[in-house]
Amino acid sequence: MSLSDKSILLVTDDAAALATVTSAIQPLVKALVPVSSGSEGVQKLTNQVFDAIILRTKAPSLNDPKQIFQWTQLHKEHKATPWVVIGKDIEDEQIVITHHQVKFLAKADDAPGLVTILNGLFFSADEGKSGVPSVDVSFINPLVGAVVEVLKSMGQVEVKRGAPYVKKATDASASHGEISGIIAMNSDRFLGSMAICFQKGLILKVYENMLGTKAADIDNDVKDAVSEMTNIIFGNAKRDLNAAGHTIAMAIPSVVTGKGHEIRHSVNGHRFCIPFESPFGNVVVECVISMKKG
Amino acid sequence: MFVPTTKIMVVDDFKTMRKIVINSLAGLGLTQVTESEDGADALPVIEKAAQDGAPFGLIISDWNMPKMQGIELLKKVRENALTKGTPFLMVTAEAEQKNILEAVKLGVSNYIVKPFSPQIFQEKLTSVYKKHNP
Repeated sequence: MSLSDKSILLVTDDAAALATVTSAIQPLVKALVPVSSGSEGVQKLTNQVFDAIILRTKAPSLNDPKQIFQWTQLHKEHKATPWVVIGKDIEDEQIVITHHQVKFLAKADDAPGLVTILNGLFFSADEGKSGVPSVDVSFINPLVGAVVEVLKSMGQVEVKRGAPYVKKATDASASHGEISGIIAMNSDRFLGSMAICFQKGLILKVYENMLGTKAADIDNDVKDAVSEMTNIIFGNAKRDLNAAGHTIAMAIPSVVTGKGHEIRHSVNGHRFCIPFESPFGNVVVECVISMKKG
Repeated sequence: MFVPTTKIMVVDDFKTMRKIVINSLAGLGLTQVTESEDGADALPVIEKAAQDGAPFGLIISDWNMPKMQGIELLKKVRENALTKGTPFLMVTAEAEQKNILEAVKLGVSNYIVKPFSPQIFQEKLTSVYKKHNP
């Protein structure tokens, strides 16, 4: 689900689009190969399989982007390669809209939008292979970043993210830890909630590092700390998500404690979990998101 | 930088964050601290101190609180002739640009985004001090 192992072919002769895409994508991916025409793109494709093709269609002198598409459809190793088309003028062209993996980006200067599309593209593909329901990684990544940052800067604990998974139905409501902060995540497009579930050893260490005093057990002060950390993680993730076009509303966290305590989300759905490991114990972020209809 | 006798009001509904701020202040030698859990509790204390001739020299407030939000507290402080010049540092997890612009328009001295390190906290305090003592 990472972009860091992906190779991207960029086809454009638009200098502004080249600059925007290069600055947005190059630091994130394994390789970004720019070409300025369809025929040059085909040449690259004969030597290398790319994980995605980004195409800027508004460039007037682009040498027939159809050429690349038609060529990829004739070669099975390239046939399923996803496309990201910048500019909507190609959307009506049947050859492209019949391709199963085409995403459109309306504006060439929408660098965050492009990153979001690529993340979603690869996350869905990778998770689909393992049978896990796909979740938009552009939604999850800000949460992951906020958890890592808050635990590092406030708790002085470095955590390592594990592979995400969906909880089995048999243990669906039981928490992974001894204390959890839960907060609603609602916007005009979706309803949902997030729980941050700490194992006792980790939260006691984080509490000690944050406040300079030890807590012998999970008490009201530790609950307050988990509530505030949930608030901060939510606030940081909300900032990034809203900057990407969401409209997540402010919310107040609640805290639940006890071994195997129940996590009640605000909506029903798959419980998508992201585990993090540390030398002191684990923390798991658990999300349920339900898109609004209409 | 603020002198050790500076009276400081720390406003946050979470005890944890109040403790972190108070610990950070203590590390800078600033220990004349009063705590409040909410803007609504803090405001009369701030106003009375000013009326009594012993005003707070610095207010450090959270943004998101249940009864009176930090932005409302800032507005009330700036509206009162006795307190309008008080240095005001907003501490927030609500780091969206529209929030920051709103606070700047209302005259916040500076803001700090949670989570923050002691170094960042000290830098922000120094910046607030210089802004009010050019």
